[in-house]
Amino acid sequence: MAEKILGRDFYLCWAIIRPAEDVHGLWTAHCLDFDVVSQGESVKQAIEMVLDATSMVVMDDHLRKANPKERVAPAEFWDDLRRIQEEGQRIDDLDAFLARRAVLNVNEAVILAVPFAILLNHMEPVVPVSKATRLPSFATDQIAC
Amino acid sequence: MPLRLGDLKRLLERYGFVIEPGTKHWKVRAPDGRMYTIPAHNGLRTEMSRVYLRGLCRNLDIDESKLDD
Repeated sequence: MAEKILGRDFYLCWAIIRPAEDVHGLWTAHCLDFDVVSQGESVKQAIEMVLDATSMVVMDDHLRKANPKERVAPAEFWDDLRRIQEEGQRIDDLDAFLARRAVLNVNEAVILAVPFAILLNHMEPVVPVSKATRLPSFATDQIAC
Repeated sequence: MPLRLGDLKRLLERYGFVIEPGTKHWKVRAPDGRMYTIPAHNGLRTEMSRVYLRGLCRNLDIDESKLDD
């Protein structure tokens, strides 16, 4: 079920962003709540892509009267998220973090955990709330997930 | 070697999935109606990472080895 915040229905989600091991220069983005994976050629693009993909999947499930929560990612990925949250550096301004580290590349092996929200708009079934990436995120290069 | 979107499309169609082209993402739909997204930010040349392909297989109940054909 979606959560209710200020009278609106939201899905609150976490995505893990990390470099792709097998495609140089590519970042993967995995929304754990709905087990949706996308990718991009920068951290920013990977986040935008996973927002887009997750919105499409949730909207499609709602239109088919299916429960998107049944897609949840396997437990091992949630263990990764917990490790990043516990051992990673908290980021209050993700945009500023990315701007400072504009040269982020696969060699830095940074892993990001990014929260976002999907607003359920009952006129247009699902609208992504991209501003939600301003919630505290976490980054780490200290652990091997 | 990572699959490109064009190769993945051909493979999925061979296994009975329906591909719906889009812009940033395409859709792949299983016979039971379940949908998953395919990144297409570089068109048919978009390279699919192993992490993405594993997610696709989990969501659509595809044996991963089928994508190595």
